[in-house]
Amino acid sequence: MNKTILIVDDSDFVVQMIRFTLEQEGYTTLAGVDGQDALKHFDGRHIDLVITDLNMPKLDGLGLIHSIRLQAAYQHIPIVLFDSHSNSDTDYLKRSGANALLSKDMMNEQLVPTVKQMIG
Amino acid sequence: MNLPQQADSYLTFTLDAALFAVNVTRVLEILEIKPLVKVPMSPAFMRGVINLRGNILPVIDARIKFGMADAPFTIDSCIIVMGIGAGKDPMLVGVLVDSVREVIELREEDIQPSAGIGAFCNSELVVGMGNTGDNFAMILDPDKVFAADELVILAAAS
Amino acid sequence: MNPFEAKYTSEALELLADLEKLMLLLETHPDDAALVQQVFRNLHTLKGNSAMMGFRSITDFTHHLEAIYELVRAGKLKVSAAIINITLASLDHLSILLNGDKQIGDNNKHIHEILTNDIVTIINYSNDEGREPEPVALEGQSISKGEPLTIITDDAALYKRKPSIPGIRVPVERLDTMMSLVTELITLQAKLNVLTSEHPQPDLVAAAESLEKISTRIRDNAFSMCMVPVENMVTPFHRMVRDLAAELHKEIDFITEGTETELDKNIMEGLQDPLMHLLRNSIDHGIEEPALRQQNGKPRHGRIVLKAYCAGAHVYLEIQDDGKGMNIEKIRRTAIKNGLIEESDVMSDKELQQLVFVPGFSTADQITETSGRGVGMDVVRRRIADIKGQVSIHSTENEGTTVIIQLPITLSIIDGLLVKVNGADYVIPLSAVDICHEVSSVQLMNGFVQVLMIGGEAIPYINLQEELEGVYAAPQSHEIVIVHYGEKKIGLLVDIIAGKFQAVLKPLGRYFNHLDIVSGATILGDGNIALVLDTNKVIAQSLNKKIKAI
Repeated sequence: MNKTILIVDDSDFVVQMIRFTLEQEGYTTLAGVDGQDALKHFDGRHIDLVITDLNMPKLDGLGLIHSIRLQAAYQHIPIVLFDSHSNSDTDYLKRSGANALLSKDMMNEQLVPTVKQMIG
Repeated sequence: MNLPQQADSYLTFTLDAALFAVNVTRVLEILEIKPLVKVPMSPAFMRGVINLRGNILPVIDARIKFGMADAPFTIDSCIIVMGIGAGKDPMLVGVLVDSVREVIELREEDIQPSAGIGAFCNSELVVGMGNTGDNFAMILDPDKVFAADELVILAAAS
Repeated sequence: MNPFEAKYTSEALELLADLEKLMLLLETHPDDAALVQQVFRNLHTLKGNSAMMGFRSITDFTHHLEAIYELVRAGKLKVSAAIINITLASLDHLSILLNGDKQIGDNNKHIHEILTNDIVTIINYSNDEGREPEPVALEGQSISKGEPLTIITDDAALYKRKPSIPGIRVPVERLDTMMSLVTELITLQAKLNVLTSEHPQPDLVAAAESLEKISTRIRDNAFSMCMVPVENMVTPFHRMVRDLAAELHKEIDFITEGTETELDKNIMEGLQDPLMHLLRNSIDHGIEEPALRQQNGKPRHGRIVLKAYCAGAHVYLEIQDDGKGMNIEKIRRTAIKNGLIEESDVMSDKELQQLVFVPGFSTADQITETSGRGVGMDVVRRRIADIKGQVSIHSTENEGTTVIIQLPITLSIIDGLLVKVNGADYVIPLSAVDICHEVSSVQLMNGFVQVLMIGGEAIPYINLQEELEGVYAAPQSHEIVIVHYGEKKIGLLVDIIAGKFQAVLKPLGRYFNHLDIVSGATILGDGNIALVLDTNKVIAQSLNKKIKAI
């Protein structure tokens, strides 16, 4: 069974690029255009990993992570948070509720290794 | 510019018993005579338009264009489809002729500067006189002879 | 090239276009927090996308620009003329980068450094408690500290920023392919109709009819996909008016009306240049300087209105200015000097005004770089003719000038009425048709003015058998097609009306460019060609002949 990854970003371009890259690696992907839209996928189905942007309208990355963690079924789901510039603040990582931070400028090299490391 | 190279192929055709030729690279196909739809307010030499596989092809009556007497169609009458004008959009135009003869090879030495008669004294329209062996064919430059702009000017003036 | 680069570039250019629009709005509503937020969002998205593609220079540059708006959001900076100008200049710079190789090279290094410095200066100033920074001169631009230009739009929609309607992006080539296929479908369906009528079987006929209905719906649907509101091409105009007016020290309100009116996208592309030119004309030669206007009792601000509306089978675009209008005497003298008319020619003011469209005409005292040289208006007319439109100019001296462009709604498929005249097939666009009647020879009252009584109305008519070529046969009865001609109704006498027909319009080609009574041709189901008539032109021609015959 393929692993399922949810990608959330309000830029259609970003979503498509990440989907393409991950699907090439054999993953199944879902998408959301913002935090609020992404939540509709959390209806009991199995999701292996969430990759979400930080700055989005309606419900941003942090808000999304918070909402996901509130649901018992998804409390421990691995989540990757990304933003345009790198952030090496480990406190920030802990407070955000995400499991890993990625920056968009390092996305090309780090996306697949990070995903593989987290869910195989 | 229609500078003949080593040996070029020319399609020969007749108009009123005179022999003409045009470089085959300009000829797309030869059609049998079909009913032409005359377009109102167009000059006499614009014989009309025909349906060429779903596109509109204008047809010029070469006889009228060259000032020859009009004559009824014969079974040999046909339409030569030529490409006019270089550049991005070569236009297609059909030319009504009395008959189509064979394709001949002409080397540069077979072509003499034009010593035409009447309308064909104008060396702009005639590239030269080609020696076919037993006859001379007036080699035409289709871009000049059948140019749209010139036709348009002529049409507007008439 | 990275396969995603095309997608990145097209999304980036869209973001820039949206940003430009937002900046123009922000100029007149500098305290609107929602606008600022939107600007920030767009810049942030652009930055993120550029980072993903690895375009360092664009990412960093956008980051600086974004920082300005972050400070505005936080109340540490106020939106000022300087910020707007620098942002607009930066957007231009980004646009050039995006359309090129996305790298900073020798030709854009200089402007890149200047802009970056200016942006950083603004950011640093914000540390001095929100004091407005000195406007920095950007190379090639002059900073006017005078009255700000007001750009008002009449469209509430533009300001209210409609919530984004869900849609998907489709490459234009796919739309073109679809239109091609649709026109082929229509042609084939016409052929099927002919075959069906030759071999009528109840089931076949019913199926053919259903197919026709569905084809029509597909056609209309496909067309609507290629229709784009005039609004889409208006933003660069706002920008140009603003910049040019500033350069010429004129004060101009640019107003747009009816921009929700839709046009075929191909037609719209053909309109960009001519409209730009006409607007430049209004700004350069039309609207006077503020002082002069005041002297003449006009308001200081000149007014240019771009209006779009539908009427009948056409879409109209008008550019109206309240400037100094055209001087008839000057036009007359210039036309005579350039050999366009004779001293003795008698022409109405209206006719004289249209002379500006003739090649080689120009009355500008100085040939200004913006719009002189007399090559302008004739090119405008030709470009508009290319998209099958017409243009006319109407002016009153000292009051202003209006240019009216008439355009077909679509270029490719029309609903038509198939008729025969002198044995040949013609199509009359259904949009022009009012009603049809059968008419016996007895009813035709022959006199100088040909008039028919139909339903109590006296309708003047034209005998197409005489107007169009062909072998004249004198049938016992005719049919008459009554069409609209302006506000009047005129009847067109034909041999017979063969029925309604979806005509795929094919151009006749350059050989017939001078022809106006025939707007194109179409291929019938049986392979024959029918010429499509422009009824307005046919009627005008006939009337002209009659007048000349007096």
